[in-house]
Amino acid sequence: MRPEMASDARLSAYVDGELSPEDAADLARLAVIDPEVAARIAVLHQLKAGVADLGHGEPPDLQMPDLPMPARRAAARPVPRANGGRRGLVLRLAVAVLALAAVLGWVNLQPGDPVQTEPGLAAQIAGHDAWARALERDGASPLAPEWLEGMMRATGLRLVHAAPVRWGEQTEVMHYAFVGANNCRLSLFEQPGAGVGELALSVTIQAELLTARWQVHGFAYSLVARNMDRERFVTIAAAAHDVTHARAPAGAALIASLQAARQRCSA
Amino acid sequence: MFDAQHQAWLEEMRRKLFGYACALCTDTASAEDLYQDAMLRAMAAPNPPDDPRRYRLWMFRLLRNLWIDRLRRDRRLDELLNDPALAAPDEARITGGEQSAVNRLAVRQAFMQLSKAHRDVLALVDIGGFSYDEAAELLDLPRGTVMSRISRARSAMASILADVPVVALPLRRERGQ
Repeated sequence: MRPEMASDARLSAYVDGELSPEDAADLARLAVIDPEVAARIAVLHQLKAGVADLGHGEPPDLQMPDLPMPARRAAARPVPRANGGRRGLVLRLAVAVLALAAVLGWVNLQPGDPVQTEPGLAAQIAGHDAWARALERDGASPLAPEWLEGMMRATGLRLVHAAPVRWGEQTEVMHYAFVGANNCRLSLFEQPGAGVGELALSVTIQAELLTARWQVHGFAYSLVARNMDRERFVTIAAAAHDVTHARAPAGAALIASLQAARQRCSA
Repeated sequence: MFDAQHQAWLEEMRRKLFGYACALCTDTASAEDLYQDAMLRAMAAPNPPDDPRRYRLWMFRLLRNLWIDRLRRDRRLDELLNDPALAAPDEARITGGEQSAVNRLAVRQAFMQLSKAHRDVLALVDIGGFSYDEAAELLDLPRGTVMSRISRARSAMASILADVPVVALPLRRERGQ
């Protein structure tokens, strides 16, 4: 046997399936007649399997598409305070998990135009756009519902409008409108009479239009924005979902994650 | 732009990608951070590859580049670029026999004692499932260099395992008795 025929490099290439069929066959024949070569190949297989095993771990707090809730719960876990650096990491992870879980789970990315939505949401998008235009023309008239205040302040958005809006003959929807720096504008619509069932948060991104919808405690909620940073919007949507679900102000960790997710709006 | 197809590809590779991050980093928190950063940047990338093979290579390269950025930031890039293990003569040799029947936990522990460069290339092949040609493309190295590094990395692991007490797996013939 030539020494180079059973070199470590060749044996490694053999267990990796990187030898040519002819060379692999030669080495296999050698392993049959040489127990030491066979044992070395076995060791290499064990080493390879052991390292490959590292790739079987579950990534952190990641969600399968049909299980969106735990990701946001994980993101909202209390933040360790003993270590400032670790705290920053956790916050960034919380935001990252929110956004990632959203994209892997809830977010429905759609190609640009045309924007196709069901009638109710289309009316709400139109309502958002009409309010945004009116804001430019007339200025703000602030109102401050308690349950939204802390959460939206943490996002860098200021409540400037809260009023019922009627679409059609029966549908009356509460419209909360927010503005932030750099032309960030966001609307939250709350529609009663949605039934007892809950619907999980669903985010749709169509070009510059971002919408989120969910249903909880008999109310249907929609969040509408344009040109907002995607991760920021998803984080806000998750937080809004949580406060409407819990009917309580956002927790400290969630507010911190909202602050961390602040990004400029592009228009 | 990131679309549903990229989302599906990411979903397929996420475990291996996280495994690669764990292989590059020495602690889980750093690996999680690296993994999340890579995923977010992948989502935000304006023109990700539209071919599954290219996208997979691109994604692992993205994560690796982030890791290198962190090494540079922490002034530890030299540990990768001038790794003495890469220049050392190839003295170690894999040996067979009963002493080499080790459990996977021990293998993993030995893996984490390897140099950064050895963990890098070995993880791409064993965890990422890349061929030598793909690893060579990703690392911008000749194929022969990848082959040599893989072999040296495994030899180094075998040496580490030979030097530390490990729990032996039941040998095949013992199971048969």
